[in-house]
Amino acid sequence: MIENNSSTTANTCKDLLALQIGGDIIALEETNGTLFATVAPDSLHGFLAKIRDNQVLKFDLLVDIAGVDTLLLTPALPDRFQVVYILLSTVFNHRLCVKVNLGAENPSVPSICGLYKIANWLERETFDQFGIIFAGHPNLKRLLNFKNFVGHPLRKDYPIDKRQGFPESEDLLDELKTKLARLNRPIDSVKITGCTNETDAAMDDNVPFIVNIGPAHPIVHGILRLLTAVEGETIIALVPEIGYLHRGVEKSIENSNWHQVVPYTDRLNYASPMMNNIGYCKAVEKMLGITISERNALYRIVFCELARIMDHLLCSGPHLIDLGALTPFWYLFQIRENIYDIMEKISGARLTYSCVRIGAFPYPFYDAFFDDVETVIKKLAPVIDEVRRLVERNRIFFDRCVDIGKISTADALAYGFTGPCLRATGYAYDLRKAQPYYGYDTLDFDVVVGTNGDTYDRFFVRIYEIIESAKIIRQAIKRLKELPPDPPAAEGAKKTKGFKKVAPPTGAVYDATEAANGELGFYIVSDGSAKPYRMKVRSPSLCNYSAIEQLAEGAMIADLVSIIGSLNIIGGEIDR
Amino acid sequence: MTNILRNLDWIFIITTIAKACFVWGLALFFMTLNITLDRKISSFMQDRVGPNRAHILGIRLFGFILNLADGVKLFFKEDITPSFVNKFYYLASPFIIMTIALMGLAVIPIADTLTISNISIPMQVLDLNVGFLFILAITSLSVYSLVLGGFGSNSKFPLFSAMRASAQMISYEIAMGLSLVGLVMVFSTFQLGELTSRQGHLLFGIIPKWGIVVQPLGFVLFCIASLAELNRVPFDLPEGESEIIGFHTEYSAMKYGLFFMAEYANIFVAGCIISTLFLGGWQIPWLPTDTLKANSAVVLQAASALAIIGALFAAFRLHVFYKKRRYKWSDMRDYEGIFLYGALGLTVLAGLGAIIAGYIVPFNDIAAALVALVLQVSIFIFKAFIICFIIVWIRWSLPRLRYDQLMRLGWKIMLPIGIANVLITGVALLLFR
Repeated sequence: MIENNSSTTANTCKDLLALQIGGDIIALEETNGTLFATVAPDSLHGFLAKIRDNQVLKFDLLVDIAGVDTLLLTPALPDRFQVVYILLSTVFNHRLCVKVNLGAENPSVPSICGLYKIANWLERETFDQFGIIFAGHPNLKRLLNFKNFVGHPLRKDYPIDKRQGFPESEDLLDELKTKLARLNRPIDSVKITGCTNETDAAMDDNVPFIVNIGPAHPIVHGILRLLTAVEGETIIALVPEIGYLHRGVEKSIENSNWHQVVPYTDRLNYASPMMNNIGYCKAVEKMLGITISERNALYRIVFCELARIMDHLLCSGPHLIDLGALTPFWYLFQIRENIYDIMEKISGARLTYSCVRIGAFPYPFYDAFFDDVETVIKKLAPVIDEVRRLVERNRIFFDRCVDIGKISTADALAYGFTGPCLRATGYAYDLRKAQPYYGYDTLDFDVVVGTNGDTYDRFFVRIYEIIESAKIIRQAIKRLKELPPDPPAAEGAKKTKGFKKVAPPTGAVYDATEAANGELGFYIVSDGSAKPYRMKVRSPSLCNYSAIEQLAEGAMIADLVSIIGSLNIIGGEIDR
Repeated sequence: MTNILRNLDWIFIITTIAKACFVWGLALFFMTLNITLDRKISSFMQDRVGPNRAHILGIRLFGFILNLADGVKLFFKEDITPSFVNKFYYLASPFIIMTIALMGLAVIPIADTLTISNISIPMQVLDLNVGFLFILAITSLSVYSLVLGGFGSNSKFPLFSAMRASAQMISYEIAMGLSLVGLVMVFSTFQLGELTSRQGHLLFGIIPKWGIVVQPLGFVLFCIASLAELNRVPFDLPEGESEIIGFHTEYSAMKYGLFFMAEYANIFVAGCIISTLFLGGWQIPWLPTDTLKANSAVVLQAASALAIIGALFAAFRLHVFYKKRRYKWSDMRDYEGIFLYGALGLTVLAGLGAIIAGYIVPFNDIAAALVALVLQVSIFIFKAFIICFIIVWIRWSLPRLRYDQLMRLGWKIMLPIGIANVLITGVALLLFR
C-alpha cells in the first residue's frame, strides 16, 4: 500500500548531486530512503549555497538542523559530533541530509544564517543543546534553555536527572539594545523597571517605550515572551523569547524505549496529538522497513484529518477571540468537542490519546466509529459556513486582517514556513500531494492556497482546509467500508500480548508528514538498541514563529495579536 | 429660621428626592439587569446555557441572582492597592466613573409633567434649560476616570489603555456633538422635557415626529458615538483584554467591580439618552397625554389585556421549556417553576382586576394622571431596554477595531457625515419652513 516513491527521487537526486557538485562531498550514501551527503565543515557554506541556487537541485527549504553526539555509539566514530542539515527542495521534491562531522574539542562550523533565515534559530538551538559553535552567527545565544544554564543537555555525558533552577528571568535588553541602536534609538540611559520607564530620559522623545508582553499574556497561546519597544502603539523593535515550556522531550526520549516515545509525541502539538503519534510511528516504520496494511493506512488518514480539523478549529476560534469576536469560537469549539468525544470513546483520553503503535493500532475500534465520524462531518459544513458568513465580509475583520503580518513566498521559504502559513502566500506545497504517503494521492482533495500571505489568508486557508479534510475523511471511510474483512488469524499463530520488542537497525532516518501547522519531521538515529539513540523533532511551529520579528515589527500591538493568532503557535511544539 | 423653612418649596424638595431615588434605583436595577442580559444573550448566541446555578430558595430569575453572588464575592475579596500606584488618582478613578454614570440620568424626563389639581411636577430630577449640553458634558467626563485610573496605576498596559481612552473620547465627542446639532435645529430647544413633548407632534398628520424620523443620519451617528463612549465592542479598545489588559489591570475587589458596574449602568444611561433624544422618550405613538387621561379607563384595560396576553405567552414558553427539560437539579431549583407560574398568575389576576376596576371604579383626575404616568414610564423603560438589548447584541457579534482604524472612522468618516448632516438639516428646514 505505501509505496514510498522517495527512493526514486533520491536516486535521481543522488546522481544529480554527484554530477553537479561532486567536489565538496566526502561521502554520499543512502540509508532507509534518506540521502546523506557528508561534507567538510569548511566547505559547508559554499556547498549549501551551491545546492540552494543550483537550478536542477534548488534546495530552497532548510527543514531542520539536528545535532548528534556520537559519544556512546559503537563502534566509536572518529569525530564526536555530527550536525545534520535537513534540506528540502519544494520544486523537485528532493530531500537531502547534509552531514558535518566535528571533533570533540571546540566543535565549530560556519553559520549559514545568510543562506536561510530559519538557520538563525535552529543554530541557536543546536548551540544550546550541544555546545556546537556556529562561527559568524549574529546572536549565538541559547534558545530553549535559560541563559545561565550550565552545560549542554543533549550531550550524552549530561546526566538526564540533573536539575538546574533559575529564580530570575532574563531581561533580553541586550538584544533589544542592539536592535534599537541600529535604529538610532539608543536606550542605554534608561532604567527599565516593571512600571513605566523610570528616569528623566523617559521624557526624551527619542527614547521608545519598552513593554514586556508575556510570558503570561492573553495573546501568547502557550507561554511566550516578547520584549517590545513601542512608539505610541507601533512596535519598532521586538525580541521574542521562547523556551518557557521546554521540558527536554528529546532527552527524555533517549531514555525510553521505542514504544514509550508515543506519549511524548502527544505532548508536542497538543492541539492535534494523533497526528504526532502517526508521524512518529511512520518514521520508525520507515526505519524498520514495515509496510502497514491498507486498512491501517486508511484509518491513519481518517485520524490525521480529524486531528487537522481539530487543530484548525483550535487555531481559528481563539484567533477570532483575540480580535474581539467571541461568538464564533463557540460554534467552532462545539465540533472540536464532538471529535473529543469520539477520541474518548476510542482511547479513553480526551487530549493525549497515544493510541497509535508502530506498525498498527493497539486495538480494534468500536462499531459505530464510522457513523460517529460521519455525524461530525455532517455537522461541520453548516458551522464552517456560519462562521465564514460572520467574518468573511465583515468590514472590521477585514481591516484587522488584510495586509497584516504579510510575508512573501520567498521569505516564507527562507523562514522554513510549511503548511497553511506557506500555502497562504500562494505557494501550493503540501506534503500530502508532493510526497504522498498512506495513499493520499489516490484520494480526491484540493490544496488550499491564499494569495497575499497575510493574516486573512492564513485564517481562511485553515477554514477551507477543514472542508478539504472532511472530504478526505468521507472518501477514506467509504473505502474502509468497502475493504474485505481481515482474514482470520492462522490456527497456529500466537497472539502477541503487550508490546513487541522493537529495535530498528543502526542508522539514521528523516521522515516527515504534513501536520496541521506544516511539516512535522522526525530525525531519528538508532544504534540498534531498544531505545532511540537520538531523536530530533522538526516542529513546524518553531519555524513559523521564527518569522515573528519580521512580521510584527512596524505593526501595532493589536496586530501582534492577530499575527500570533494566525501563525498558530503551540507552545508544546516550539519548546519541546 | 421658621421663615426659611416656611419659604422652602417643600413639594419641590420632596418630589425631587423621590424622583432622584426612583431614577437611581432604576439605574442600579438596570445595571444588574444588563449584566444578566449580557450573560444570557451571549449564552443564547453562543449555544450555551449561561448562568443557571446561583439561586435563592430555588429562584434563579434567569441568572439575575448570580449578580448577588458576584456582588458578595467582589465585596469580600482582598482589596489590594499596589505599592507603586499614585494613591489619589488610583482610588479616585472608580468613584468618578460610578458617580458620573449615575449623574447623566438627572436631566432625563421619564414621563410627561404630572399635573394634579394645581400642582405640576416635571417628571425629571432636574429640568435644566441646557439639558442637551449637560448630557454631553457629563458623558464625556467619564473618560477622566479611565485616564486617571490608567495613569495612576503606574503600569504600562493601563497607560496604553488611558491613552486609547483619551484618544477615543476626543475622536467621538465631536461626532457625537455634531450629530445632535441637527436635532436642536429641528426642535429648536435645548430643554429635554420640551424636546420630548415636541416629539409627540405628528409629521404630515400621521408619522410621529420622533428624532429618528427627522434625523435618521443623526441617530446612526449618535448610536455609533455612544457605543464608542461606552467602550463597548467594537470600540472596547481601552478594555481590549486580548491586547492590552485594560485600565483596570491593577485593580481588585470592589474597586474593580465598580468599573464594570459603571459600564453596565452606562449602558442603561445610553439607552435612556437615545430613547429620549431619538425615540420619543416617554411618548406613546399617536396617544398624547391628554388622550391618555381622557380615556384612562379604556387605556388601563387595554394595557392590562396586553399584560395578560404577555403573561400567558410567557407561561406557555415556560411550559414548553419545562417539558423539554430532561434533567433534575435535585434541589430547590426544581421548584422554581412554582414561583414563576405564581408570578405570572398574579400578573394575570392583577390585569383582570384592573380590567374589572376600569368598568366599576369612576376615574377622577388624579387616577387618570397616575395611569398616564405609569404607562409613560413603562414605555420609556421599554424603549431604553430595547436599546440596551441592541448594545449587548452588537457586543457578541462584532470583532474589535484597531486603534488607528477607530480614529480614522471617527475623524474621516463620522465627522464629515456629521457636518453634512447639519448642512442637510439646515437646507431642509429652509425648504419646508
